[in-house]
Amino acid sequence: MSTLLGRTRAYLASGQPDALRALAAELHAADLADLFLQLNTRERLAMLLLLDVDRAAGVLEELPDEVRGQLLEQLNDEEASRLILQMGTDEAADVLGELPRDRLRRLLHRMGREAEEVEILLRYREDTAGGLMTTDYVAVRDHLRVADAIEELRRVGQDAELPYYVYVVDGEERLRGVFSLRDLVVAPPDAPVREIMRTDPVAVHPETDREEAARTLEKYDLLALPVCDTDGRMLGIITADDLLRVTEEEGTEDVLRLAGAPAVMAGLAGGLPWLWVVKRAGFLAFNLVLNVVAAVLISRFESTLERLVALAFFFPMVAATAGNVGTQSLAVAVRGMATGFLGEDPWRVAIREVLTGAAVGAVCGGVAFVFATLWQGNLQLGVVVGGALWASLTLAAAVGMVIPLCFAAIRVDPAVASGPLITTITDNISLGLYLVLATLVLAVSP
Amino acid sequence: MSPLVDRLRQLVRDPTRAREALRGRHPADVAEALRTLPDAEARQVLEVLGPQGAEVMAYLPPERQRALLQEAPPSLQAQILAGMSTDDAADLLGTLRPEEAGALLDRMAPAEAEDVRRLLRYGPQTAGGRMTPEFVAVRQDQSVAEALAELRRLAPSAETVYYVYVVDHEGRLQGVVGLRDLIVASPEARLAAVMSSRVISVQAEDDQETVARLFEKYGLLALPVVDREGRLVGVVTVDDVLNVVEEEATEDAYRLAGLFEAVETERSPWRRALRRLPWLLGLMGLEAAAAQVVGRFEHALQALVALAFFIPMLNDQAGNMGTQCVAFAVRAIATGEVDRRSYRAYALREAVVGLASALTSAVVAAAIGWVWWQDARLSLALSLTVFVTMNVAALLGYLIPLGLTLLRRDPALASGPLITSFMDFATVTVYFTVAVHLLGLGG
Repeated sequence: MSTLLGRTRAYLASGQPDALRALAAELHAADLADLFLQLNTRERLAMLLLLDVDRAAGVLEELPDEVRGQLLEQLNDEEASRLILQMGTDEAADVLGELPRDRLRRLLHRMGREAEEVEILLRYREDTAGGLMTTDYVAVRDHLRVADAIEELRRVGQDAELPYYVYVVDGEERLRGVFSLRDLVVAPPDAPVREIMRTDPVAVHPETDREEAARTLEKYDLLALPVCDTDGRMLGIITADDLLRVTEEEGTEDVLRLAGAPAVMAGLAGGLPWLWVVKRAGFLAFNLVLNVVAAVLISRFESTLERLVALAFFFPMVAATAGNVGTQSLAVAVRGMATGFLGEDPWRVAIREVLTGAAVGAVCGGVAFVFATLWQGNLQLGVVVGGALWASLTLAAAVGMVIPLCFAAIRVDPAVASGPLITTITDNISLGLYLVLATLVLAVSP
Repeated sequence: MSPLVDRLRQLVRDPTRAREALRGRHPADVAEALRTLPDAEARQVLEVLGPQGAEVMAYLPPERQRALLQEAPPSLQAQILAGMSTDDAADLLGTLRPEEAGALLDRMAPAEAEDVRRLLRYGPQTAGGRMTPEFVAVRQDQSVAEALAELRRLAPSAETVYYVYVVDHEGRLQGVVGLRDLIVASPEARLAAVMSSRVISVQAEDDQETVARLFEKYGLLALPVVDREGRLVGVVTVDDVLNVVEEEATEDAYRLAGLFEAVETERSPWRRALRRLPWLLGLMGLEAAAAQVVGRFEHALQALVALAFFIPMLNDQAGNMGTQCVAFAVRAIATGEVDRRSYRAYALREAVVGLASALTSAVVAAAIGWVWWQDARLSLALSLTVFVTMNVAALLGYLIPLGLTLLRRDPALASGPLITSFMDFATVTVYFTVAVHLLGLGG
């Protein structure tokens, strides 16, 4: 890689565009983008302008948003629009969507006919099917023949990205059917496309959540998913490789949510985004303030504690075990919603989860009872620790499962139900139960 | 109950009519309806569905597939396995005990059984284990017309043809042609002229996460798999990879929460509990050690019972810091953003985050102590504890997953609860030691 980088730098310094283009031709766009990222800002700009326009556009598609934004700022409108025209419409919309309004308008104006398609895409939010789709697909009218479809494929040339399906639409652009290139190869050239197409193709609405779209594509094992409006008119397609990224991002989001970590703004491994450091530190400091509630709660039971100081020994055990059980149920709920295994009736799974909490609580409570009784030689203390643990683990399972489900039901982002929020709640529930139980038991004892 | 389920039930009583109604339904939908039926009924439905049943089977979750197949009569077993694609059949047989799988393989057609056996040789989480051997390969000296003819001959069995692979006389991968390019190319052209030799491939032994990362990076629909000699042995398709990415994320989330076994498949709460208990009980052992530590400072607690108020707050703080760092490290490693080369920069950045967070929280902790108790020494004790334990938690939170990766183990083994419980122990030790010294509560 270093020799590749060295050669690139040398060609750039000595101004050898042909050698540079030959070198770029050897590389896949994603690798070319990797190489590009190792250059300094001035070299990047020089390279972008020296490459063939389609290669340069390919690199631009692969670059991280910030780098791309920086580069575009340094290009004049003519250079920028030339590059954007060469990009896939979905990528072009992503790039344009990040630009300031007046520049966006100027560039769209320069792009002419292509601008219409991009403007459609710009209408949809990033986390919807419409925001992910591209208008580069191959569609043929339903009265055509196989040979016409092949002709159409030849005509769209390199524009449609990785075409695998050919969609069949009627005179009103309504999606009627689909066939794959494989079907096309096997079919006789004069067969009507209507005969080789599969009818009732699976499609999603542009406002559909992108996670939902990913699940649909996965469920039916498709390579691309058509997007249609309410009248069934075809607007675009979402390709499987885009959804692969969605699935991975959502997975990361879920894992970070369990840990209460703020959403990732830059790449996980990037440099040192200070705003992000501030966010993470701020979140933890806020969490500390939230946990004062538990401290105040305990202070209300000061006299109970004074009577039996040994109660404090078990604070970490009671709070942590309840927190663990709550977080486990949260993990089941969060991933269950993401992958769809909770199915039609998540509440049934919730009941199962609470019963699991009760079972876990019975065993953990029993073990804690034996430990506390034997260690401190105090049966009452054992009963309090064991009893409180059993009850709080049952409740913790309920909290971990039910809170995200409720949030989802009332359409609040379930991300609010993060791991730390759940542990803060289970801390208070478990410690409260523990100290109330202790006060009661101590009150009836001599 | 959905109408589709009723249709499936009806299928057993009146096959012809119900089969008519099911025609055109996507096997994924039929599978979804089938999931709600008890095993015995589901088996009857699969039997009546015939070859369509095998297709439906592939959309069921692996555990259900296994349960349905194991108890099925031999004729149905053979019917299902024959109808499934080779990679699906291998995935299913791979979940069985070797002797069971062997018996089932003997019932399959010898050629198909051989293909499945070959796939079974690879680990289930490798490229080889995820690939299908059904692909279309042509030699580079053949023409486009010959390639299309070959495609027509093979297409009915090769269900996933997006690319045609070009190989040399030894079967070594030389290039790739997209199906579209093949269709629009002139029929007399040699493949060597239309193919792209910039073909990305993986080795059969490569880990599935490597495979997923390549798909993502290059936006692929299919990835050829080669053996050590560079010979093409199979193809991994994007739909399989989507499942891999989802499974890996779920596994990470579960492990982070201290769940080490798939739980969603268990229905009985007792059995679900049994799977979680060993881990929870082990962590309680750590908490018992923390209890012993607090027990050592009984005299200090008796002197100032208010010390106990802050235990959960301090514990929580260190636990959250550690869990955050574990989560970032686990996903950064899983998505390939951090690897064996770039871990130093990552560790440095996490250290800065740890330090900044510990400092901020230490100031807040001091303020809490002061506002509530108006005692400078208690404030200082809280603040110092927060600062020390959060730094330790951050350090462990990223060092343990990175260390596990360097040792080639799954970084997610360093789960949130493990680090939380360990930090509970460490936190009470630091807290009471510091408090006893600063507040002069020692004996």
